[in-house]
Amino acid sequence: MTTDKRETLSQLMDGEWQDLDPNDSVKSICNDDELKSTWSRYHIIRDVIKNEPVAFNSSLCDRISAAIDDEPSYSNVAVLGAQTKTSSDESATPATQAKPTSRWQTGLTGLGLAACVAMVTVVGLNYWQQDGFDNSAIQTASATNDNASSVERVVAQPTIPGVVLPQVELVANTGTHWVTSGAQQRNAAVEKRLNMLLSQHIENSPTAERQGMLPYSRLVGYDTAPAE
Amino acid sequence: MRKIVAAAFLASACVLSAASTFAEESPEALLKEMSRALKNLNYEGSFVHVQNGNVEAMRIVHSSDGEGELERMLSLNGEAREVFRNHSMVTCIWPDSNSVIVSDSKSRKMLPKISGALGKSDLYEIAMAKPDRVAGLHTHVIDIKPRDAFRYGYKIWVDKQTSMLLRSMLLDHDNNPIEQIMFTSISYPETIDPSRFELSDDYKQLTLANYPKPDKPDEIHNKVSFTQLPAGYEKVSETYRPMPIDDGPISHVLLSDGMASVSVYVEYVKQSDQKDIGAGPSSMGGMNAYMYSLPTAVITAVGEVPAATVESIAMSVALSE
Repeated sequence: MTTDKRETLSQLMDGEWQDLDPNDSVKSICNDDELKSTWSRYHIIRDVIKNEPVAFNSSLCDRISAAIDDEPSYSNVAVLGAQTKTSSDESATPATQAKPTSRWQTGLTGLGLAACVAMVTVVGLNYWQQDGFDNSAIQTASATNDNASSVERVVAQPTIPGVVLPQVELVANTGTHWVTSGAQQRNAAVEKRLNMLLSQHIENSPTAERQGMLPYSRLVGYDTAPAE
Repeated sequence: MRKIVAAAFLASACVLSAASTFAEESPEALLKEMSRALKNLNYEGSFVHVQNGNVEAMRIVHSSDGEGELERMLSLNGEAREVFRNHSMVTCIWPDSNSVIVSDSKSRKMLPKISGALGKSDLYEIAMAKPDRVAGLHTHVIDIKPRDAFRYGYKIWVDKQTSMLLRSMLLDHDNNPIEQIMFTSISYPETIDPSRFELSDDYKQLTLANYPKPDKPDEIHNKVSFTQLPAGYEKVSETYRPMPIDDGPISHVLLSDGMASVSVYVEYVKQSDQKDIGAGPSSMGGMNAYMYSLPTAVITAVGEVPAATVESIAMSVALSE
């Protein structure tokens, strides 16, 4: 698959239609088996990575199996997909009906056990995150009630709803510090003007999205008074 | 049992498939993935911001919906400074002094596009470095080295599973760290209650008092040109718009070399009416500014680039009548 096609898929995944011709894009996916399978695989990957509820859905294995069947580069997994169907059929046979176990089936079981660990990790991660989020939700309710107060109250007990923060002793407001060479004293008006321009710059910069939270953390982050 | 084993194997294959997908990414593709993750993921965590021996601990919660991004950031040390970002506004609050800075929030889709590759080969050298761990998570590491002194270098740690930016380091031309941020813990909740991004009533009043919303939309102008820009920097956009710092509209020109960007502001004020603008260079971490006065305007260049770059850009501004 070419980089352009992969890029197109990524854009479609992100809902960024504006730069694409929807008809051409959809048509090219529908007419290309490899693109179709990659499209399917991307969705499954996204579901797993984003910890979406599908991770707990019993149809997950069917979806994974179908996607892997479509994926030509994983030939050993394609065999497993076939084996899955066989296993499903065999599940109707009585448990007492012992069958000889081939070497590759034994190896597969070993791989499966290793995979169980991976699956438990994924599920465990989901569970842990949900647990954490639920805690946050509980704390949000109380924090929201506390927040219906004055600015001074917020200052005295800074909170992000959902997060319990330690009590802090506030220092005098020192704002954000620009260092101006040769300046003996800070000029509050100049700093305020620079901060406003910086805020405009951050919000309009086409490259800010690659810097994450750094620009804004810089804007509100410097609180230590310069050396006297 | 066989079903369970097969299902587990398939899940594992899926996870491995995801990992291999990202492992095949080029550094540039990974940077794009990271930008999307920063914009689209729900995340919540604590990070530190380090510069010149100062360490700031901060907390962030970020969400994304159909309308855009929602973000709230809080400083955990000293004054409880906060940043709120919603679909229409960005509000920075210094509660001790009731100081507020408000600006329009821009949808990332509305930002001017930068052309070509993220790092042009004659400006930056981009490569994958040895994988690492941050906040307990496995990361890809991208090295971006500048080829001259007009730009900074970057080292970026990206979560292997989610492509989220977990650590970022800004480096000078000699590869010395200037500043960095690093997550110490992060989680990716499926949903985040939108009420967590709402300003309290007190802050809303401060915001309204401090931000008379401009009644004129941005205009596209072409009044600002440059006699000689540092290598690689190109004009991306120019708007002419009202801003809270000045009575009249201001020209705002954005320049970029593909990785970094610089804003040039031109305030059209006669020299006799100009206030103390603090002419000369100023810096804050890796951010540099340079201001100077012309007979008919005040020029300010601001950007996350070396001091020599903003000075060079500011001094090359040419205004057309």
